[in-house]
Amino acid sequence: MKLPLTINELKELVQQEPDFLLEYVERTYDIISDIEPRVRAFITLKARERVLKNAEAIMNKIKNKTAGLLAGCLIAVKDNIATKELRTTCASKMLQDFIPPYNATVIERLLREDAIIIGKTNMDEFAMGSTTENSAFFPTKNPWDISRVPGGSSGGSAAATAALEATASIGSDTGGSIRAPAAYTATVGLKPSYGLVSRYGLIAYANSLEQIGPICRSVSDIAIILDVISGFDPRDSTCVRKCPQYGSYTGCVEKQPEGKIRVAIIKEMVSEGVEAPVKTVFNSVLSKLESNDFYVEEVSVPELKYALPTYYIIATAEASSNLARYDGLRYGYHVPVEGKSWYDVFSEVRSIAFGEEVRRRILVGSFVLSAGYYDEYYLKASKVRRIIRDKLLKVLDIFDVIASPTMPILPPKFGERIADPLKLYAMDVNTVPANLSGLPAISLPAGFIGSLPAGLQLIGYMFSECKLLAISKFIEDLLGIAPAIPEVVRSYV
Amino acid sequence: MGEKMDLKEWLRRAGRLSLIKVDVESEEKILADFIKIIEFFNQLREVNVEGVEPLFMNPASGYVIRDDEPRNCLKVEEALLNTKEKVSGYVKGPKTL
Repeated sequence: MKLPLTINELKELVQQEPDFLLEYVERTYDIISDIEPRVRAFITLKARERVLKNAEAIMNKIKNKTAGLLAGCLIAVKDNIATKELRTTCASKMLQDFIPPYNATVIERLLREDAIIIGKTNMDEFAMGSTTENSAFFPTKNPWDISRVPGGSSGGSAAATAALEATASIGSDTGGSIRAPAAYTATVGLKPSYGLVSRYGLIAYANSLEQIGPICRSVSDIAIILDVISGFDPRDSTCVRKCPQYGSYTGCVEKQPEGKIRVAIIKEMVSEGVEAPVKTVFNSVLSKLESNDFYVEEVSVPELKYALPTYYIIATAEASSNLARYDGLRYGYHVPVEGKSWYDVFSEVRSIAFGEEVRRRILVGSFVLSAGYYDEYYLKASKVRRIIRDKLLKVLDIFDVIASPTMPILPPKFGERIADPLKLYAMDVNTVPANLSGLPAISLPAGFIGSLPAGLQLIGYMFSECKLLAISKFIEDLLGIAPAIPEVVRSYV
Repeated sequence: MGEKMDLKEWLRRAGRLSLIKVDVESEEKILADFIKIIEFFNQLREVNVEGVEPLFMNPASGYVIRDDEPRNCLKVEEALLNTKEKVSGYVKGPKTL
């Protein structure tokens, strides 16, 4: 039987023949055995036997017609999302042996719908990075070209999805961490509106900016997972109580968007710093949209020039506060306490167990929050944040979506960006505005330059996921790229 | 932004505040990166924010605080599952005296 490439294909096949689920698990593990030594998407992978046992129970539910929406889907989960009794490391030495005693809300919801958590994926330590090189354990390789990074920080999730090591995956996005690796692996990644998906159980980096979201091989798959993971959660006070679209995203992608779709191109997101090949792919997508009756107009938001420093001030400030909890006493990397002072124990633990980028962001965050600098940096950035959000909302009052290249550059080679922090941060230039503003944003496969994927980002109005996904599906069908399968695993399809 | 010497002193203070030791060998590199990052942040000086209220979060409809009622929580042994040094159900810490 053909290997299913999307959740819907898997659902169809197991409905017809429930026993196929076991074959699907076996075949996925065969792919993992072959590809994982080269790609290294997982930090922790469940044993094949354990997953087969799980699949068997779900297979019986399918036979009894009591199975959930994600029956048998093998979901890879970013390693900063708490999974009960399954190691959750944040790709940090600090949490290298941390076993959560509870599940994040998104995990509870996935399991309730009979998804199988196949393993925990690699990431930049504490989600700080855009390449997955900052993992304390090993870098993940891009399945489209293993000499290049898969993007980050949810690089393991995206690589596992692209390389058919999972049906779909879950990531988190603080400044582009779902969309960047989605763009670099020709997958689809959604950062939902702030407050749509519970953050309970997400290990915090910059809590006012981050959201959990899916990375899949199609827009329809994104809609199915969003239906499962979104919704009010009393354990997250920032989660919205009511959203009219909760639970109806699958229906949204089944309908064609109504009327002429109005697309804004913000000049500042396509000019400086965007590499020529990326621009070429983007322009070719725009031509296709225009010839298919989309209304495309260029607008200018000069304030976007300040989005990147604004983001990094706020993110580092929140990081310095959120990561203050790591003292090595209650959990995490530990040094014996006997005969030592509090200062010695805490600073030894934190200096040994945090990696370079994490230490840097904590130090910078302490600086922008400290007396004498708070007003000049943190407070000012919070004001600029409002200006940027208001400007984007104004654009979205007139347009259905804002389109841009997801990433300004092609996937870099290992080591190319990581040595210089400003070069690394510059990769996030087009993704951070959505986080600052709490807006939903998606990355779709836009095209290829040789074998290297480039992504198209669409940003929508707050809680307009239904419209955003409908437009995304329409564009996905127009472009005809998804599901895109890298050469290294094409023989399995 | 002060002179480089001030920053060096500040970095040591930030290290103490953040409980992160900045060793002498890496101090120069950290400082160089730190200066670059702060200069990058200084771009915000160009923006006029007069009369603008800060935006700290993106509340859609305000925050929802749960009722202050007791709920099931972790058992002591579950909460201490990851604790390396514990004594009679408590976390062992360094002595303060």
